[in-house]
Amino acid sequence: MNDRGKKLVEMVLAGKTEAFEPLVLPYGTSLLNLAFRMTGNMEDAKEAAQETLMRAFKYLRRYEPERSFRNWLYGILVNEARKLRADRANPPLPLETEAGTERALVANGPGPGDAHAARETRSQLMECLTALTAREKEIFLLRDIEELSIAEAAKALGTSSISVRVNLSRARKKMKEAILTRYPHLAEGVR
Amino acid sequence: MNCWRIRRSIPLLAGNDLPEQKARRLRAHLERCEMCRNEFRRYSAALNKVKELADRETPPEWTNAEWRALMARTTSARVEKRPFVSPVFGPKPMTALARGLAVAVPAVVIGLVLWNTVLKPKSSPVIPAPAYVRKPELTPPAVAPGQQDIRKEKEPAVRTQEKSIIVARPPKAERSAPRPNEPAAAPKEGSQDVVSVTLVSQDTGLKVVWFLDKNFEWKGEGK
Repeated sequence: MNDRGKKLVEMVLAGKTEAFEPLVLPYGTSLLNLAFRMTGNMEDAKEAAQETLMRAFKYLRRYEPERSFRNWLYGILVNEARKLRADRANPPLPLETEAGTERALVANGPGPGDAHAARETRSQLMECLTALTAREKEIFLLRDIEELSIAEAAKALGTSSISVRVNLSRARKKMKEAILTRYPHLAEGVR
Repeated sequence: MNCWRIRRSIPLLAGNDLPEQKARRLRAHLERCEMCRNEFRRYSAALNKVKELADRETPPEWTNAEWRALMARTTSARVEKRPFVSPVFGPKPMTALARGLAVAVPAVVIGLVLWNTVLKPKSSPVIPAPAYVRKPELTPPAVAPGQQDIRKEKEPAVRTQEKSIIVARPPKAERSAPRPNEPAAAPKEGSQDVVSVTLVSQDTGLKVVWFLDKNFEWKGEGK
């Protein structure tokens, strides 16, 4: 964490709650994005991200400044997403039927054509991710999409590096199959 | 390494997640084996495609209203107070319990071992006999001519060895001299004035109690 971040943390802990917003603002979008990829729907994603930020505020004293703040938030988010999944106890709905996701994509896209392209890519990626188990998805997202190291991912997930490697290996295998099924031309040059 | 083992590690190699030494071995194999090399390329292409898809995504955003409401709700809560941290056992109760047990169990085991080996008091401490204690002579005294030896009638054919000891009075000079490590001054208040020595014969069960004063002077005999 940089000096500015440390100062903001100290201010919040000293009772200046208004310092919390500039502290978490840089991570708001990435938290929501990761939550969406984990939960598979926008409603749960927002709930998980909100709970993450609330818990981060409440338990800010437990944050260790030598650790990445983003990774600390990701660790909380993974737990919140798990809780939601356990509460819901049903699989996420396919993306195409979720009105909220559609609205978010259209609202944030630069134009109709780009929004359509974005929805296409999101659909492809999210469909590929459905091939993974919840555990594999968490690890794959943290390592290959958010680019945490194996050790950082293990710490965020509260597990060992060996477990991360095993699940990551499985996840990449499944993702390879899923991607090559959808994009067979990727394998053309190597078959 | 054979191809089967190599292929198990290719997913991690594609993401640069293997230790350098193992990665070097795998790459050396990939240079020789075309099938494994193609498999590695497929993994790399798939991973690159996933990253490309992720980068092309338009991430969902909070609306201003949502973000304001969230911040207002979040900061209305209170930051957790500084938790009590025991200087010895740490912050969490279960951790404290585990640490306490980790200290207590070995301490009890070590204590029991020490008690049984070193510290346990002996039931009958062996006091070295003074120089004036002599062992009984096993040869009977000579019987005067014409006197009947009554012991021959009472004693069994095989004579049992006498186990008791006889404590003789020390020579007078020795009695009057102060013992080493013993102050010659007046006895302390509350110190023991009378010592009793009980002698028991293991064969006959005959018991004799001798009373001695603090200077080990003979005071009397009892039963």
